[in-house]
Amino acid sequence: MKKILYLLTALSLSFISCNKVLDVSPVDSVSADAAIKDKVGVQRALTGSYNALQSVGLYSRNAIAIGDLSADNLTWTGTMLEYGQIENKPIPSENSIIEGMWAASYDGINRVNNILVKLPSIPDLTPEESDAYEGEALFIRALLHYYLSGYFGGVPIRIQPTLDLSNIDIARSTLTQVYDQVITDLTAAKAKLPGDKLDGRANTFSASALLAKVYLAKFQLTGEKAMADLAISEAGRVITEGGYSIVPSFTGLFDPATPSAESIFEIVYDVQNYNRLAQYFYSRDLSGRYEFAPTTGLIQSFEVGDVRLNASVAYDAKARPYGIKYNDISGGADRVYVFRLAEMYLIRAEALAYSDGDITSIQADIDVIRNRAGLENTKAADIPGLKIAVQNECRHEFAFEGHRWSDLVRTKTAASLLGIDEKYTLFPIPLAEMQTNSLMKPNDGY
Amino acid sequence: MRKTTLLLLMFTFFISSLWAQTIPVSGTVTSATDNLPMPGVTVQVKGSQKGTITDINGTYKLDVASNATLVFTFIGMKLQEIPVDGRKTINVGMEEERVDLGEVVVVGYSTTSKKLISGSVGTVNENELKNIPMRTIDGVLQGKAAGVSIVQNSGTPGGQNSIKMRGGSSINASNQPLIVIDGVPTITGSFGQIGYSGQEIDAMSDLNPNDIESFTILKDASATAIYGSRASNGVILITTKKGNTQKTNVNLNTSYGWQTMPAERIPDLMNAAQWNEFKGTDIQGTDTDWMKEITQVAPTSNTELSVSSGNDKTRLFISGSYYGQDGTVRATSFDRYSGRINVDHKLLPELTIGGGVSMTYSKNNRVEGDQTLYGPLPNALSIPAIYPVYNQDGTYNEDSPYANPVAIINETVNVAYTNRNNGNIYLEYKCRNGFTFTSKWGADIYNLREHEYDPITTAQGLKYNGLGIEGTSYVSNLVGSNVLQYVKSIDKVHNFEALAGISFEKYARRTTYIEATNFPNEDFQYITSAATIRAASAYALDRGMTSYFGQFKYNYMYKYIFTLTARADGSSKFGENNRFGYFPAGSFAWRLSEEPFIKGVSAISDLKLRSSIGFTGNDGIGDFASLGLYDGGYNYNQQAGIAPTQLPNPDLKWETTLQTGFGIDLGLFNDRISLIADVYYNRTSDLLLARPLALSSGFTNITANIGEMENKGVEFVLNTDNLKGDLSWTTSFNFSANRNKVIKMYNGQPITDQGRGNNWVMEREPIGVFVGYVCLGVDPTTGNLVYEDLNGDGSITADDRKIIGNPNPDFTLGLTNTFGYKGFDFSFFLHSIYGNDIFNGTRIYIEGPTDLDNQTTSVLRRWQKPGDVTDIPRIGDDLKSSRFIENGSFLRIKNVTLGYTLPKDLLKRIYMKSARIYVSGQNLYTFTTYSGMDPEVNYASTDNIIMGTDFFTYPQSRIILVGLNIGF
Repeated sequence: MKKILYLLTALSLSFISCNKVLDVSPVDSVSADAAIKDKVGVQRALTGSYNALQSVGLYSRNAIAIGDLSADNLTWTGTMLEYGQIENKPIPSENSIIEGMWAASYDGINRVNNILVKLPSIPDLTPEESDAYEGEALFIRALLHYYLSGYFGGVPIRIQPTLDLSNIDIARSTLTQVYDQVITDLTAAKAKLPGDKLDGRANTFSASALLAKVYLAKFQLTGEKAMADLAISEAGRVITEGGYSIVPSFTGLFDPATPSAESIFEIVYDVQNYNRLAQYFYSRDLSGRYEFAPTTGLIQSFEVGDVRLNASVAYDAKARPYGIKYNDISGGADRVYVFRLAEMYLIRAEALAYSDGDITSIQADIDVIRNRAGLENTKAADIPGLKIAVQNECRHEFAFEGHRWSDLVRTKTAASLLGIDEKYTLFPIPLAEMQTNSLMKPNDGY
Repeated sequence: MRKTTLLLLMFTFFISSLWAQTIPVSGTVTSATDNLPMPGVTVQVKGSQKGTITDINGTYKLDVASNATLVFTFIGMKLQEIPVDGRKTINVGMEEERVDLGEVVVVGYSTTSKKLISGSVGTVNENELKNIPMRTIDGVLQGKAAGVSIVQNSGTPGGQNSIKMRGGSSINASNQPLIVIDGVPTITGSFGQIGYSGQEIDAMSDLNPNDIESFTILKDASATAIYGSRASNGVILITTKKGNTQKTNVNLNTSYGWQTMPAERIPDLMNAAQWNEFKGTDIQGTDTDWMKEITQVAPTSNTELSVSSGNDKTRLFISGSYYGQDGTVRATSFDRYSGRINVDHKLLPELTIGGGVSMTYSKNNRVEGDQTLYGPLPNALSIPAIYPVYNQDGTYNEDSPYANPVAIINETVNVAYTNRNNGNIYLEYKCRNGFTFTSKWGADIYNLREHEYDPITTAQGLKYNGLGIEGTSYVSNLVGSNVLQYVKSIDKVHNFEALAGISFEKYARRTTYIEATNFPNEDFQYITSAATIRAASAYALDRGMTSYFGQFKYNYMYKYIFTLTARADGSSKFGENNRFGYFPAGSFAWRLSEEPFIKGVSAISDLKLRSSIGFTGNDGIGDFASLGLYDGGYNYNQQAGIAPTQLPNPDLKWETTLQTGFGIDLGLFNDRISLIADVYYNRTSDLLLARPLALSSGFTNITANIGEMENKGVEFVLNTDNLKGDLSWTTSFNFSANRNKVIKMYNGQPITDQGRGNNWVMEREPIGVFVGYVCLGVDPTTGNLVYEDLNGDGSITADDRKIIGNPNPDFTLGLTNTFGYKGFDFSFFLHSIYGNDIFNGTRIYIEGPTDLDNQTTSVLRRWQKPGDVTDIPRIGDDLKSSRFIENGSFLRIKNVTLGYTLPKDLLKRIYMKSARIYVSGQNLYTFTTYSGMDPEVNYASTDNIIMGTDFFTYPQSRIILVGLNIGF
C-alpha cells in the first residue's frame, strides 16, 4: 500500500508542468501601438520629447560646450580626449562626442515625429490642445534640425517617424533645404502655439525667436534681403509683444533659484533630472572636473568695466580661470537657456548691419545689451565697425552658452578668426552614420 | 611401381596413425555463477575449423587428437582454452566477462559509464582542485579542462571572470556556459546596480567549490543538446559531495596565505625628481609613491569542515566553510560563509528520496573600478609624485587632477552583501523491470544588497555634500523536472537506454534603487538621514521556460554506441510565432578496443572513436527583444514622459548552432597513458545581432537574426602515469586551439569601435579584432607621432585604419606534473595563453605623454628637440593605434605545491585517518613581454566584443599559502 502511495505521489508530481510560465509581459515598457492613444499618451510623449533635449549630446552638455570649445572661447583642460579632438581640427569622424550630438538630435526628432503622425487620430483633444501640442512638437523638430545644421551642414531631413525598417536610410539635404524645412515647421508652430509662458516649454515667441535666428542664418547664407527683413520682424515681434524684459542684473540670469523674465525658452533641470554642467566647468579645487576652461583670448577681449567678465569667469586658488555660469555642483539644477531676450536684440542688430540698415537702430540695439553690462554706448559708427561690435557683444553676452561657433560660421569669419581651413568649418558626418546609411555622403575634407 | 606402393603404404600408415590418436571427448558446459547448463557455447579445436556447439543440456561431443586444445567461447563470457591431454571428459564452467566500462559519470539527467560516452565530455574531480587558493568555481577550474577558457579579467576579489567554451557561440547573446549544480541550473552573471564599470560582482562567486565532488564538462551537441536552448555554449555539470554508505569521514581543510601585487609588474612611474625634470618645475618636499600608499600584503584564508556519513539506507553530507580574501588594493575584500547539507535516503528498496540545501552569506568590499574618476587604482597610477597624501593640517590633499585615492579607500563605504540559498529535493523510483522515474525540484535564490556612501571627506562626496546609494536585487530561479528512464540489456549484446522528460523554469528578478545627497555629516551613512532624494526606482522582470526532451542510446556489445537526443524549448523571450525551438543531436562511437584485432594488441587498453552532430540553441538575449516598445522614465520638469526605445521585429527567433566533431580516446599500457583528442566545427547561424541602423533614424540598432559565425578547433588532454612505485610521477597536459570567424553580418556592415581599444566585429575576421591607425613612430623633426596614410590621400582620417591586432588566442594550455615520494607530494601547474593581442589603454594616458597624469619613466626619453630619434613623442595624441597593441602571450607558473602526508601509524595514535600539510604558491611568476600589469586582462568583464583591453585594471596577485588537510 505504501508503495502505491509513493508511486501515485511521484506520478502526480510529473503532471505539474507550467505552460503559464511562458506568459510574461514587460514591466517597464508599453507596446509601441498602445503608447500614444489618448490625450495622456500625447502628453507623456511630449514630455519625453522635451526630455530628449536634456541629453548629454544636447543641452545637458555638448550643445553648451562644443559651441565654445570648437571655437575660441573654451580650451580643453580635462581628461576626456575626445574634447581635445574637437578643439584641434580636423575632428576624426569616429569621435564619440559628435556622434552623440547627432544621435541625440535624431532621437528627439523621431520622438516628435511619432506624436505628429498620431495627433490627428487622438479622440479626446480639443482643437486648441491639439494645436498647442502640434506646435510644441514642430518647434522641437525645427530646433533639432537647426542645431544639427549648425555643426554638420546639410543633414537628412526627417519628417516621418521610424516605425519599422522600411525606408530607414535617407539622403542629405542641402543647407538651404534644411533651413526651409525649419522655417516651414516654425511658421506653423508660431501660429498654433499659445502666448502663455510655460516653465521650460515652448510658446509662440519661442517659435519666433528661433525663426529670427534661422532667417538670419539663411540671409547670411544666400544674401536674400527678404530674409534679413523677416529676421528683423520676428525678433521685433518677440521684443515688443513677448512681454519679456532685459533683466537688470546679469548675474541674476544664472541663479537657478531666480525666475528669469528674460527667458524665452529654457531647459529646466531639477535634482532628479539634473545636468553636470557645473561639474564640467568648475575647477578641481572646488570639486569640479575642470574639463574646459575659458581661453585667455576670451578673457582679454572683454572691455574694462564689463560686468559680464566677472559674472562669467572666476579664478580658483591657483589663479586658474573657470566658467561660472553654471554653479549647482551638488544638485545639478542649473537652467540652460535656449533663447533669452538679449539675443533678439543682437539678431536684429546683425541683420540690420549686414543688410546696410539704419546705423542708429543698430547702435540702439547694441546699446541695450552693452548698458545692461555696465558699458557705455558703442563707439562704432559705420557698418564694418558695427559688424564687429555685434560679434563682440555676442561673444561677451553668450560666453559658455554654446553660441560662438555658429556665430562665426554664420558670419563666415570662422576660418580666418580661428586659423583653420575653410572645409573644417563643418564637422565630419559621424562614422557610425556613414557606415550604416547607404545614402549618406561625407563632408568635404573628411 | 614398387616405390609408389611403398609411398602409399607409408601414407596410409601415417594417416591411420593419426586416426589412431583421436579420442572422443565430451562434457558439459555450465555457467560458473549459477551452475546451470549453457547451450550454444562454441567448442572449437584450436588451430582448426573443427568444432561444435553445446546442446540444450550444455553437453558437447567431439573427436579430437589427444594433444589438441579445445577453445570454449560464448558472448559475454571469458574465453577458455583447455588442452585435452588425453582426457575423455572435460567439463567447463564459463565465467562472466566483466566489461570494464570505466567510472560512472553524470551527464544530463542521467549517469553513464565513461567508456560508453559517444559525445565529447571532460571531467575534473576534486583532487585536482584542492590546492588552489582561489576558492570560486571559475577560479578552481582555470586551466584544468581542455576547451574551457577561463580568463580572469582582473584581480578584484569576487570579481567576474569570462568563461568560454570552444570560442563562445555568440556575439550578442551570452557566451557563458550553463552551470548546473545537482541538476538545478544556477543563476550566474552580475546583478549589481551600482556601476563599477567593468568589474562587476559575479553571482558565481557565492558558490562554494569546497563542496564539489566533480565537474563534468559537456562540450559538443551530442552531450549538451539535452539542455537545448541554453546549451550552445557548453554545459558544466557540478556534482556536490554526498555521504557514503560505508563509513563516516570527517574532513577539516584549512589554509592561510598572503597575497601581493607583483612588484615587478607595476609600471615604472616617475618619482618627484623625474617629474620635475619632465615638467621643468622645481617642486620640492614631496615624493609620494601612490601605488605603495594604496596597496598592501593581503591575507586570504579558507577553512572548511565536512562530515560524510551514512548507512546502507541513508547518506549524509554536512559542511561548513569560510573563505576570505582581502584585496591587494586596500579596502577591497571578499568574505564568504557557507554551509551545506546533502541527504539521500532509501524509503523502500526501489524508492530513494533526498535533497540538499546550501546557504551562503558573502560580503564584498569594493572600490570603484577602472572606468571612473574615483577609482583608487587608476588614480594611484595617474597622480604625479609631487602631490602629498595629506595636507599640513591633516586633511586629504585634493590638488591633483584626480581624487585622492587614499581618501577614497579610507573614507568611502562600498559594500555588497549577498544571501544565497540553493537547494533541491528529489524522488527516484527504480523499478526492477528497468524503469526509473526521477522527479526533481530546485530553487536558487539570490539576494544582493549594495550600499555605497561617499562622505564629504572624499572628493566625490564633497561635490554632493555626501552621496548615498542603496540598491537591492532579488533573483530567483525555480526549476522542476520529471524524467522517466528505461534501461534494458538483451544478453549484454543489445543494450538500450531511453529517457524522456519534462521540465520548466521560472525566473524572477526584482530590484530597487535609491540615490540621495545632502547628508548632515560623515557619520550618517544611510539615506534615511539625507535631505535630497536624487533618484529612486524599482523594477520587475519575469521569465519562463517549458521544455520537453528525450534521449535514446543503443550499443551493440558495448562496441558500437549510438546516441540520439532531442529537446524542445519554449521560452517567454520570443513572440507567439517562434516560441518553441527544437534541438536534435546524434552521435556514434566505436570502441575499437573491444574488437578482436585490437584486443590482441596488449599495449592498447582503450581505443574509442567518436563522432557527433547536433543543434543547440542560445536564449541569452533581452527578454522582449521582438516587440516595438516605448519606455517610461523620460521625465521632464517633474512630469512623467515616455519615448520609443525599440523597433519591432516579429520574426525574431532563437540562435542555433550546428555543432559537429570527431574525437578519439586512446589508452595505452593499461591506461598508463591516456589521450583524449577532439576536433570540432561549430557554426552559429541566425546570430542575434544588433544590426546597426542609421543614427538619423532615431534608433541605433535593431536586434535581428542576421549573422553567422564559426568556431573550429582542436583539443586534447594527455594524462600519463610516468613512474609508479616509491617515486611516482604523473603528468596531465591539456591543450586547446580555437579559431573563430564571423562569416556573415547584415549587408557586411561591421559593428565598430566598441570599448576603449576599438574592438570590431566584421566579416571574415575573428570577433573583436582591434582596428586602428598604424603608428610608424616619431618624426625626428617635429616630435609628433607619424601614422601610415593607407589610402594615400594626404591626410590621416578614419579611412586610414586597419586591423592591428586580435585578442583571441592562438592556443591555451595547462600542464600539471605531480610527484610523490614517501609521503611527500609535489606538483606544479603551468598555464599559458599564447597568441593574443592586448590593447594597453593605460599607456595612452601614462605614456602619451599627456599633460596631467603621472608618466612612466620611459617618457624621460621623449623627443625634446629636432634631431632626437626616439619612440616616445613630444606630446601624445589620442589616436588608437598600433602603438598600444602588445602581444599578450604569457606562461604563468600558476601553482606550485609541496605537501607531506603524515604516516598512518603515527596518526592512528591520535585517532586521525589522514593528515597532510602543504605549502602552495599561486601565480608565482609570469613570463610575458606584455608591459602592463597583467597579461590576463579585460576591463570590460565578460563582454563578448570588448576583449583584451587593459585600462588601469586591477592585476592578479601572487599568493603564498600554507594549509592542512585532516581526515578523521
